[in-house]
Amino acid sequence: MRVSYRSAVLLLAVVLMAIPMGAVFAQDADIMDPATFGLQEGKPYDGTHLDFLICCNTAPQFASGAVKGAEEFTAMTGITVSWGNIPFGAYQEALYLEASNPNTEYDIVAYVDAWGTNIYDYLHPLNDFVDDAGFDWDDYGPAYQSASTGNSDTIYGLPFRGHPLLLHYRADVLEAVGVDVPTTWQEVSEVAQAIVDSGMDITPIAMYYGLNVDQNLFNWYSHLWGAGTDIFDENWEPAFNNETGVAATEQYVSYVRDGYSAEASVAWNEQEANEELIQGRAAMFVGWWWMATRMVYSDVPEVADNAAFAPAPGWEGGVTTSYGYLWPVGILAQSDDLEASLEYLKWLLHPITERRIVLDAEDPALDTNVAVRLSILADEEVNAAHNGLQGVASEVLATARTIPLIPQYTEVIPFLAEAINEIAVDPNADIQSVLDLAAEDTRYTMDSAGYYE
Amino acid sequence: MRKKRWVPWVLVGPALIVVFATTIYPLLAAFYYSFQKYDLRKPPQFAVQLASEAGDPLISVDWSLLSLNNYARAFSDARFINSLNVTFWFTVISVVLSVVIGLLIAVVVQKSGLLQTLTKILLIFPFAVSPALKGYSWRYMLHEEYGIYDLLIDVLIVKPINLVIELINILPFVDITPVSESIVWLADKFWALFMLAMSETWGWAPLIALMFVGALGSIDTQIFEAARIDGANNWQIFWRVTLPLLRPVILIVTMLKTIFSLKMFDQVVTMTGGGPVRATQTINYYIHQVGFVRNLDIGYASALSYILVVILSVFAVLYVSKVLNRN
Repeated sequence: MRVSYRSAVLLLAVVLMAIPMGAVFAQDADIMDPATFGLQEGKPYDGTHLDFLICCNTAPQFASGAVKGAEEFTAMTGITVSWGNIPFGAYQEALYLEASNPNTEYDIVAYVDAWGTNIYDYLHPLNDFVDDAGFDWDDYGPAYQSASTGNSDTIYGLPFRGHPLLLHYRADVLEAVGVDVPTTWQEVSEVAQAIVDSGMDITPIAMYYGLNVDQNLFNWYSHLWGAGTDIFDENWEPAFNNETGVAATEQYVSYVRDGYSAEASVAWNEQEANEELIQGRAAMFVGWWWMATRMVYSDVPEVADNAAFAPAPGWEGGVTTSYGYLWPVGILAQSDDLEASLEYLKWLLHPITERRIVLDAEDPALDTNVAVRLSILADEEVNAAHNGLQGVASEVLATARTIPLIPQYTEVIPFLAEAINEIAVDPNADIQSVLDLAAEDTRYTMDSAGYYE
Repeated sequence: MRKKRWVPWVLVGPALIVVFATTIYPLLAAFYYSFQKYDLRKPPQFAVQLASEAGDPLISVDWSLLSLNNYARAFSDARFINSLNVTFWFTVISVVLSVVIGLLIAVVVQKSGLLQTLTKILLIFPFAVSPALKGYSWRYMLHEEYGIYDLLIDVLIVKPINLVIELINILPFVDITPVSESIVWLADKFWALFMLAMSETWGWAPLIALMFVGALGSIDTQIFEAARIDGANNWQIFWRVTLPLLRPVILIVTMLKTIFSLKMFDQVVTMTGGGPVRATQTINYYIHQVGFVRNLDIGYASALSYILVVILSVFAVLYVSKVLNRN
């Protein structure tokens, strides 16, 4: 049989095209195989419906998990899952009420690390599950491990969505001013001053000191820990009002007091401050990495084209430590479908699922950079898809830590958030005395809870 | 024909069940919890127990678990006292503004005419906006970068004042500092509370205006004609005739608005978050924080709620008695 030259080229092209297609099909076959995820064969929970208590399905980090691959999971197991959509502002209350409700319809629950301490008694311990399902516990950074266990031996939840703090900045502005990316908060002040001196019509940094779900504490922790102090000392006595704490707080509010952040930032929340950056009115912003896509997809071309990210600044001469914020996912002890819920967690938290979610950027509304496993954060393909953002996150998470994970801390938080707000709002406020008052309230709360007995 | 006595009960029964389930039962339960230590973080240990086994008394009460501690704690709680203070000033500002502005609107739109009728129809819209949305809207309308109210205040008030100051500054030896054009409304303790009250007034003043329009329409026009024949001018008629005749309605409206102002919650959450510092933490907001967000102390939150119930009851009784007397 004679094969023409043209036919040979065509055949070769078909074969070459079939190779990657074959890889895709092979991958699809894997992701449709229950064994890939350690799921039980034979659909033992076929027809089971699970309710997942979670917030904000307009946020890509959550919406992506609800949508991507959900049909495949149901095809493999016969289990259907409904994701809740409670606004973030109302989520804390909903979480507590549902967790403490013996007749709740929810089986699975996602929670903010600090809130979790109040519902530990209502969560099913996951230690056996982690062992039996072959979960690689070391694939999570130390901050996420602490947040999942509340610094105890019990695993209450597993890392689901996690956030390091990043410096989001305009590369063009820093380049025009001729300064390097700041690595410490002190350098942030220097860069801010350089931007002011350059006469550019842009606010150097957008901070957020307003009272809104305690967001004004996120960057304060970095200042405090970097400077070398903490919220509590080893005896649970307030330590944030010591000399180092005052110096750290002084630096923290200096951005607004020195005019580097807009005067209005004393009333802003994190979203409003971030809005300044993505609308092109600010050059720097320090916030969670999930917000990175907002800058990348900004409608302002000079913002989108110059979106750049670096680890959150540290303290000059100190250790760069910032808050690693985690949403663990757990199972409510009163769930009637514990086994089916565990099956779902096997699939949802599997590295293959996590990797697929961050790699799938087809729909901007579902495009997320959020991953929690160290292996995914180090994945070259994942990093290539997100301009190396995961690599930056890894760097931050190496030294990140979590906040005090005790039930009383949710009572202490308003004292701190109000104190920070007061210091920011009133340029003449005496930092030491405001922090001392917050320390008094904190001590009273801790004393009432029996910490000093 | 024999009257069927059960018919009325069947007719009102569903409504009674709903009222009991959504109002009476929660009120009774909260009253009971207010004497208990009840932390949402732990399975509760209730003082009142129903019989669990045959032979047990139907209800047993462990009196040691009941106390007045939650009420005693309230009066030494500086944050609760702050919320009482905030609520008082919020109520005063929002009630006065709502009633006065409502009355002014009513006087303007009471006459018949196409424009007045259209205005009356439009007036109900602000009241129809949900309070939470009202809070969000006001937060953005007061934003110093793109807020419409901030812009209006700048253009209509601040700029003219600064223009005058600029002219005066031309004079020798005069140097007056211009008024700042960028007031951060929600970062100032007074302005944040005032703007919170304004957001409430924005919704309520039009509704109150409609109430006053109704009341004005019921006044016999011969009274006004008689006053005019006696030589009274418009101001004298309003001050000496209209206002005294409206007094019962003003009283009812004031009490109604007071009750609603004392319950302020939604806009605090969406507009100010209770800040700056604690300047807009109303009683309801504080109770919510204690019960469901911070302390998860349902017992203490219930006690605080009952203190609010007592305050509200005073106004509710006055309101109801006034309405009944009027009828």
